[in-house]
Order: sequence, then structure tokens, then C-alpha cells
Amino acid sequence: MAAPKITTEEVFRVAKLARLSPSEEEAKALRYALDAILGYVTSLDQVNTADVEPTAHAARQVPLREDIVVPGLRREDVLAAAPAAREGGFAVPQVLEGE
Amino acid sequence: MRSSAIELSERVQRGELQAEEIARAFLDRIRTGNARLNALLWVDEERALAAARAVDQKRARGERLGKLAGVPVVVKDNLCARGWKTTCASKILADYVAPYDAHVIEQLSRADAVLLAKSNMDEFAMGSSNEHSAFGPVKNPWDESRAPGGSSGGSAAAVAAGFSPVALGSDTGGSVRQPAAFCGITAIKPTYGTVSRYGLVAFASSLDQVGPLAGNVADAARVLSVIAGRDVRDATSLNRAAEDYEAALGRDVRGLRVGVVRGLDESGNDPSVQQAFGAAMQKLAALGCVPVDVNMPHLSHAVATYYLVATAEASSNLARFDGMRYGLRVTGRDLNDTYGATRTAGFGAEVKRRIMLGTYALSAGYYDAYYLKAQKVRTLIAQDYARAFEHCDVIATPTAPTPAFLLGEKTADPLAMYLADIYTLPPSLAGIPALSTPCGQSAASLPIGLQLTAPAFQEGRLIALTDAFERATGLKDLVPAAYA
Repeated sequence: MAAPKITTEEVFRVAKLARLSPSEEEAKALRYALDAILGYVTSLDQVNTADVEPTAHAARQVPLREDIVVPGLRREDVLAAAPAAREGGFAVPQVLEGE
Repeated sequence: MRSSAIELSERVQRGELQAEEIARAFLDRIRTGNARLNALLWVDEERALAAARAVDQKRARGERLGKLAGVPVVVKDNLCARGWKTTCASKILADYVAPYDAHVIEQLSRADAVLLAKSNMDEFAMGSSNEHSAFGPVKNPWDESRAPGGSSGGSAAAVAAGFSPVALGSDTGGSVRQPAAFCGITAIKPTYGTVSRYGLVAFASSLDQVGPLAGNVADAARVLSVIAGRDVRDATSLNRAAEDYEAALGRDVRGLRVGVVRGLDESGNDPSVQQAFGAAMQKLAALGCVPVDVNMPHLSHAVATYYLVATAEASSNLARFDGMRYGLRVTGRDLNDTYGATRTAGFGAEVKRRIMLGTYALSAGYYDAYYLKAQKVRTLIAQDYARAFEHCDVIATPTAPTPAFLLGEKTADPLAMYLADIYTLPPSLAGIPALSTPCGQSAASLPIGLQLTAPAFQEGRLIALTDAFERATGLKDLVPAAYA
């Protein structure tokens, strides 16, 4: 098989954007798979899309609802599914530096 | 012979049958057969029987019962049902119990249906064989060495094996239609926006729709009537009057123009599929339908278009699975490390491939060439349909190029698996309704499906034609020998 056009660096760059941490082996498998699939989808280059509007929204109408407040989920029910909960909130790793 | 949901509900309403005895009968079949097929992930006998008893008590009080009174249902495990595990067949949600009901679950409950189980699926609805489940593959009841199709493989196998008269699945690129074809049953993907996605774990938001799977089109029509309709909690839920899809049953189909797409590459089609499709077209002509050739030049680009649009949307939708608020958390050195460790451990290989592909297609420098380009080709495909429907009322194709393939046959090459979706992807991209119904069998008695597509909101046309076709072929009465 020819060497993939997509580089290992690109695979790790995209993985970082996707918040995935593949091993070297996984990254290699992803590289070959992505290369094959990307190679296939470039067939779209043959299609003349000059003056064609993209389909950005699938819905035929975009109906709005009344702006009224209704009860949401109960806090206890939501926190019951949390990996870690504390003081009525989700306990998560530190997000901001300092303090 | 399979049980008809409509018949069951009528007998419950007349007091001839108790919902509890019906539930017990189907739970018995599940207990006997599910270990072999692995169609159902979570079966809650206590809860099911309690729900069934509640329906019986409601009747005893003289209260009016809903259109699915006492009818057992199984639903795909990407639909949230309060108090039930909802895992999307993924390790990342392996212990997740949903705190609320999806809209369609509420609708089933209002209709007095009885939820028996959550069905197995390809992880996060990404697959066409139900081999990408974190909880093991599903076997096809017609031949257990073969795939049931996917991603709603569990729902399709369950109905085919008689574990439930009807099921719900979700369809993004063919995921109720193709497993229905492989399992010899009927399924409908409604017009986009017809059925609320509130409580359906999102894969590709512009494509996902919940759809019914059943042993016959009348049952599918009844379930669709129950689950369809406006829901303000889904911003893409259309504001249209509720429709009684059963009204289309028995409608005269003579003179209906059936479009056949010319110029498609059929080199990958199994001869049994070509034969069954040809026979189906003859049957439709005998019913008084008029075959019409149509040209749809952009259909050959459907696979490439779909695997850019759907994966891009999936990469966005699956970002929420980060170990913070629900599901698996694998704690790392810091926040980013936790995200990476959680998602890498929690997602299967196919899901990771699609997230990577989608992320790449959306990333700076590539967005125009891939995602935007695919969105434009999507428009062209929709236009192909609009032009074709000027000359015909429905379009017919096989549902899949082959009957059910062997487990393991296509898993080594993701692209080979994607190419099997060639017929089901285009209606999804165009947002129009599509239905699959049995139209024949291969020499090895494997079911083959006929796919019918119609313009937006013309499900009635599909239901009417399928009803006539079903009566003419008698194929709905074929059941897998091992599960008769």
C-alpha cells in the first residue's frame, strides 16, 4: 500500500482538536483509514457546484415556540448520573490556572 | 405467523386479552431466544409487567385505552427512557441511566404500549451491521452467522425473531431500513422533522429520525401515527397537523407512477437482489402501477456526501461525552488529559474514526474543500429528487446491494461497509420519507428488501403502495425457521 497522504502529525493535530489521545498504534490505524476514506470523498471534486447553495439546515420550516419558562430536569436526577458531584454541582478537574 | 400489534391492541381493548399475559408471552420468547441473538441489551421484566398491569387496571376502571393498548415494544438504546439504562451500546455510557423520557417514549406510554427492553445497536448509531456494539454483535435470526444489518440491528432482529411485535429504531443513513431488509420486516424513515428527536441521543442532527420497525406495514403505520407530531422541545420538529397514517391503507394504487433510477452502478449488486427487485417491479406493474425511468446524476456521490456531512455533525454532537456530567470518566493529569483519556477509552474504533473524519473535514483549511463542498452536493441530490418527482410519484430501488452479509465480512474495511449504504443514503440527505419492505429471498432464504421513496410528507403514498404489495406477495408471513 502506498504511504498515506495524510501525515502522522496531522492525525495527532486532528486528534487534539477532537480531544482524543490515540496510542502510536491507534494513530497509525487511523492514518490509514482516514487516508482511504478521504481519498474516496475527494470524488466530490468532480462535481460542479458553482452557484449551488449549501444545504445548511435540513428543516423545511423553522418554527419557533412560545418563550415561556417550563420546569427542566430535577437537579437530583441529573447529578445522580454524574461521575462526581459536590455541593449541588458537577465536580470537575480545575479549568482555570491559579487560585 | 407474527402477532399483529393492531390486532393485539384491539383484543386488549375488547377485553379478550390482558396486557399482562401478552407481556409474559413475549418476555418468555425473549428469555428463550435473546442469549443467542443478543438483540436486546436491557430487559426489565418487573417494570414491563408493572406497566402491563397498569394498562389492565386502566381498562378495568372503564377508562379509554390508547391505540397501542397492551402492545409490547422494544426501543433502540439511543432513546432515553426514564429509569432505564441508555447506553448507545457504548462503554462511555455503559452505566448511564436516563433521567427523562424521550418524546417518542412519552407518546408510546400515552398510547398504553408496554416497553419490554432496550435494543442493541451499532455504537452511537454508527454502523450498518450491528458489529460495532460495545456489548457484542447481534446475530441475524435468519442465519446466525450473518449480520442483522445496522445500526438498529437489535430492533430488527427482535421483531423478526418474535421478541416484540414492533420496535423503534433511529435512521440517519438507512439504520431502520437496511436492518429491516436484512431481517425480512418493514420499516419507515419518516420525512425529516416529522418525529421529535427530543431524547434521541444525537448522531447527525440534520439527518436523524426515529422510525418504526414492524412485521407488516399496517403496524408500522400505527406506530408512526403514535410517535409523530409537533414537539416544541425539538427545534427541528415541524409544525404540521397530526396525521393518521393508517388512513392510507387500502387506498387504490392503480396508475401510481413508480420511478426506476437509470445509470446507477449496480456492479456490486448480488444477483439475488437484482432478481428480487425485478420481480417486485413486475408485481407493482401487475397492481396497476406505471414504471417510469428517471435520471438522478448525483446519486453516485451520496456516499461521499454523507460520510462528510454526517461525520462532521457527529464530531460536534459527540463532543459532549467528555467525562464531566455523565458517563465514563477516566481521570488524567489535568482537564485536557481527562478529556482525552475518557474519550479514547470510552469510544469504540468506528466512532473514533468518524469523529476524526468529521473533525478533519471541519478544521481550518479543509472546511471549504470537504464540509462545505458536501453541503452543496447535498443540495444537488435534493434537486435530483425534486426533478425526478415531476415525472413519478414514488421511486423504487433495492434497499441494499446484497442480502445480509457474514459477520466479520466487512469489518476490516470501513469503506466497504460505507459503500453498502448506497441506496439508503440519498433519501436521508434529501430529508424525504423512505420505507423498506420484504420483496423476496435469496437462494439461501435470506430476506431482500424493496425501498420506496416519496416526496416530503407523502408517507401515505408509501404506506398505500406497500399495503397493496404486501397483500399481493404474502411475504410478511415468512418468519425465520429457528424463531417460528
